[in-house]
Amino acid sequence: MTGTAMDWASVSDAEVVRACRAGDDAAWRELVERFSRYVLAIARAHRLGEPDAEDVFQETFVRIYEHLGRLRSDDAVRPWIGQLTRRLCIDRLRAAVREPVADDPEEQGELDRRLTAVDEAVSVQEALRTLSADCREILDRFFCRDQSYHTIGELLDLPPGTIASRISRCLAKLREAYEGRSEPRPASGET
Amino acid sequence: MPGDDLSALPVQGLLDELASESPAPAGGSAAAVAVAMAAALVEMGARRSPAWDDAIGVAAQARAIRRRTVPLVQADADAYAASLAALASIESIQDAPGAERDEAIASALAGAADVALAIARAGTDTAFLAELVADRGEPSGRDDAQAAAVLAEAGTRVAAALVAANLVTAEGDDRETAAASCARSAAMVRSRMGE
Amino acid sequence: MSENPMDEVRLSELLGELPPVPEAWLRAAQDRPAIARAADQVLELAETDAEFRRTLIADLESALRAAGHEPDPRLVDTVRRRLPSG
Repeated sequence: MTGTAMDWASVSDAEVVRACRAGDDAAWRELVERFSRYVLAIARAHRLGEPDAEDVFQETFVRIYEHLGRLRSDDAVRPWIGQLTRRLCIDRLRAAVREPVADDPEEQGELDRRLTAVDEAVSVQEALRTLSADCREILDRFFCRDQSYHTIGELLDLPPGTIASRISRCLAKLREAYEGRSEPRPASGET
Repeated sequence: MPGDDLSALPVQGLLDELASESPAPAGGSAAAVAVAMAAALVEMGARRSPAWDDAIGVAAQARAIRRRTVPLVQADADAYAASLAALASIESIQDAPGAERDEAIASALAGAADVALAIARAGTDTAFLAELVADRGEPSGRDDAQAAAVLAEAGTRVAAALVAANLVTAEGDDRETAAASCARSAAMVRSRMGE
Repeated sequence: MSENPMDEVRLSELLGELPPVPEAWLRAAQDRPAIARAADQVLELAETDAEFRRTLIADLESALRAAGHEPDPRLVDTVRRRLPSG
């Protein structure tokens, strides 16, 4: 899924952060790629329209770039990014003079549920990164990009029945990887 | 019920909407529902086949297809309504040359063609999964897998016809070829599975 | 079949919660540091080289090319915003 020559899949978040601080452009591209979906998912969880979501997305990465040196713990980069994104979303909602979510307990509960789902999804993505490139690709194309068997089949030169079976087997590996992962990390917004 | 998402309506409500005088929702929305129902039947057949190693993975795929198809129920109604409105405004421009009118019509209908093609692709994928469930799932689930294949084929054929209708002024458009291929694939699946 | 709530079905649903970002958004964010460094270099040059500064104000795209940079719209926009007036 990344076009860079290095296989970043096995590089930890902390190592990517350290490489970014050392001025490694490829590391920065990896950091953006790795957390891009997370940032966008948080923006969408706040029900931002596409233009606002795009602004928050870009502003988040501007802030990340500017403040990466202040990160207290490199391992905690994801919750830090999550917190940053949430703040920018709330600022954007307030600027649009929309009713602040915090004033409506039901809305807040809904938002918390959506954000919990995002955090769970990130844990699954982390497990996905430990799988083979073939499995990562086929699961991403079918479940994240909503591509059809025809589209995937043309790209990978496989018939539909084979694709469906391969997806099933890769999902089984994903489950094993997910069950075997380390302790869950703090949720977005926590440090 | 203006403003309601069709997919959030109870069955009776959706049927009432389809039966109403309003031109949308129409065949495309009905096709999307058919494909979503087929995907749900496939998921059931997979879930009821614990001895099959790939079953839970197939259930996951059927569920994903359902998830991407359900929004198309409303999306098709919206696209159809938008194309009708665009056509009405083109019709009022009587003096435009034929090629220019054809291009304007093609543009107005392009959105509807895209949604219909998405329904056709989902239907084809569901048909493939229905065949897998019939072949490898619990034998007791074969009838429902066949029902899924029939519904998937029906939805795919309707959607493919809509793609063709919406691209009538856009000659050689790849989407029409793709939709026809979907309809053929779904028909071949049902043929292999037998009536 | 697994009764684990995080079975393959749930895992696949969660995968769908993180669809890809539009490619243009991704590229813009990834290119930002390189754009910022290029802008820094151009503006530093403008501070020390009066002739270059005049060219930069009069014809920004040409000045960027003269300084060895393609006039990428984002670079043009960044330099224009940061260029002191007068």
